[in-house]
Amino acid sequence: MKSLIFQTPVKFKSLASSDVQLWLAMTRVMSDNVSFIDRTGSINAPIRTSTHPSNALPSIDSGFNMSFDECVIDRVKQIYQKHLELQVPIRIQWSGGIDSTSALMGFIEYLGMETTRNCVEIIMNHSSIMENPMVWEQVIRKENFKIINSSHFDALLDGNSIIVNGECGDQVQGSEMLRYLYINFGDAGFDMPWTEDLLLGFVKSRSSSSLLLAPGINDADAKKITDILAKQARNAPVEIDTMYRLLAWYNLSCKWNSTYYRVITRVNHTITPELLSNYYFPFFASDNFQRWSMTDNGEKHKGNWTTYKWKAKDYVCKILGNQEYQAKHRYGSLVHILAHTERCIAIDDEFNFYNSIVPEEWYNPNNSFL
Amino acid sequence: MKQFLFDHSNWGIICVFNQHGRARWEASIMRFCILDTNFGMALPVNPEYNALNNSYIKDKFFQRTLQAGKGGFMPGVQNELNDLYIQKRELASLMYPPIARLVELLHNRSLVNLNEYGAPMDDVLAHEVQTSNPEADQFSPGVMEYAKTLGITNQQAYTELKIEYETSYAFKMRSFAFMKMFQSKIRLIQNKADSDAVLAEINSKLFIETMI
Repeated sequence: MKSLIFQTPVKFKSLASSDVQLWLAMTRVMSDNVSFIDRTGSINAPIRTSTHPSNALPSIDSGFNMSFDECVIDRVKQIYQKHLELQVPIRIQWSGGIDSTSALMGFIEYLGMETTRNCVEIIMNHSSIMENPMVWEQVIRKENFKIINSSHFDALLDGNSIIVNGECGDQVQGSEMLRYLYINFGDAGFDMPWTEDLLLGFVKSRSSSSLLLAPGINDADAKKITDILAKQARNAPVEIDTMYRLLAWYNLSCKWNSTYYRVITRVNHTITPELLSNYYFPFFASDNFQRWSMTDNGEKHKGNWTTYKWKAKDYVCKILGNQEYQAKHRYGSLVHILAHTERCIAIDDEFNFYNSIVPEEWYNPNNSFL
Repeated sequence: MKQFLFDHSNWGIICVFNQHGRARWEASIMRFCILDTNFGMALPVNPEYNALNNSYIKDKFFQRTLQAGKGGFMPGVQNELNDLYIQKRELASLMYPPIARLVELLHNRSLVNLNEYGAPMDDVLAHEVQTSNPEADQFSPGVMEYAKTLGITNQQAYTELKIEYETSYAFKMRSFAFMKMFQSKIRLIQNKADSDAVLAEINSKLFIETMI
């Protein structure tokens, strides 16, 4: 039977059974409308979901010791090799954000400005400049990169270029979920050992602020969701000791598919796994970045919210040769670029794209929410 | 100042729009949806100006007036109250919720991101870019002046100005297309169920499905 590798939770709202409603409540805890799919397989959704093998969690390497900077260059080498093999330009979807800027800086460090300019084109719009005027002025405009307007997504991935973007950057470095720790516990929140009580508090807090699905949750359901999430964390292939690492782990293990495919859902032509593996490179979707994410290497934060993604900012500053970029903070700008663009609502494991679905057809009775 | 829409059959006010910055937009959509209506403006000089809203006119009849000092509206002359007007006023109250939500979402999700610099610049930038020919190294006087002021090359100036107006145009066209699509659906509203259905579709298409 087919299963979904990407899904839109609100489309299953009409399924009234308690397991589906509990699953939707858990989705709400992660983020409104996030395509929650547990890549470890520990949490079985009441909707048939799966992860394509190309997006499986990488094996754990106990000897892994690559730094962020080394992971950047490692990823650039992979993409550049593909460029040499296919002889098509590399096009970076530059939103101006920290992640896509890191990707661009990686190419500049590894290839030098001249070669980068010859093989890399920048997909952007004016919002990119608003988000990052310094890199626009000091690098992209100054160095005369070829610019392609990003306002129309549907023609992407046509096999005439390699598309690179900053996607999965949040998944390997953390996400706005971490802001919960800052709001509720201040700087101390990042290094607090995780407990089920703290997780329960997180579940209740997050479910009360939902925009799309009915907000609020009763104590019994909050406890059930906490149990499911806690069990998943205890079975994780890596040690999870702090609240920071717990939330970062959910981000990496359960929100990956959502981020990996969300740009793809805007494409209006047939997509195959082969097309993706050759022509689509979310910059942070490499095995080594994921291993970096799962390693306690001191590069994730410096104990507070404002140092979130500090390593990526540090890297950009290193290449730019000044510290101006340290003032940049995470800003979810993609929503403004993607807003009101057409997209499909689900993708199955055979890469069929759906503009509508019959929720009952995807129900999975053997699930963790019964 | 508040905007309103009035019925041409008797100049009776059928809907009041008092959301600053969006009133004309909302009124324009409704004007398309309800035949033989037009824009009017209420001014604070009228003692009922503060009270004037859609709740206030639900059971009260007000008419547009052009008399000096009246502030654009006045209590209606009862023998001008007619069924056609009442029907339009009721239709307007059904159409207003989806119209307000449509405008709110298009504004907050897309158009709010666009910069505004005193005088509207989109068409100016488009003109300067479109009258340049970078392949022949020919640039409009405006592009060259911009380049000189910023200390960049003509080509760099051309690229920067092009990306700015193209982004603005793309956002506006996308919003305009959705507005036209839903405007046609709103025009067909006849009862509360129709209104709720269109409102739900607007929420789904322009809000729920935009969550990434």
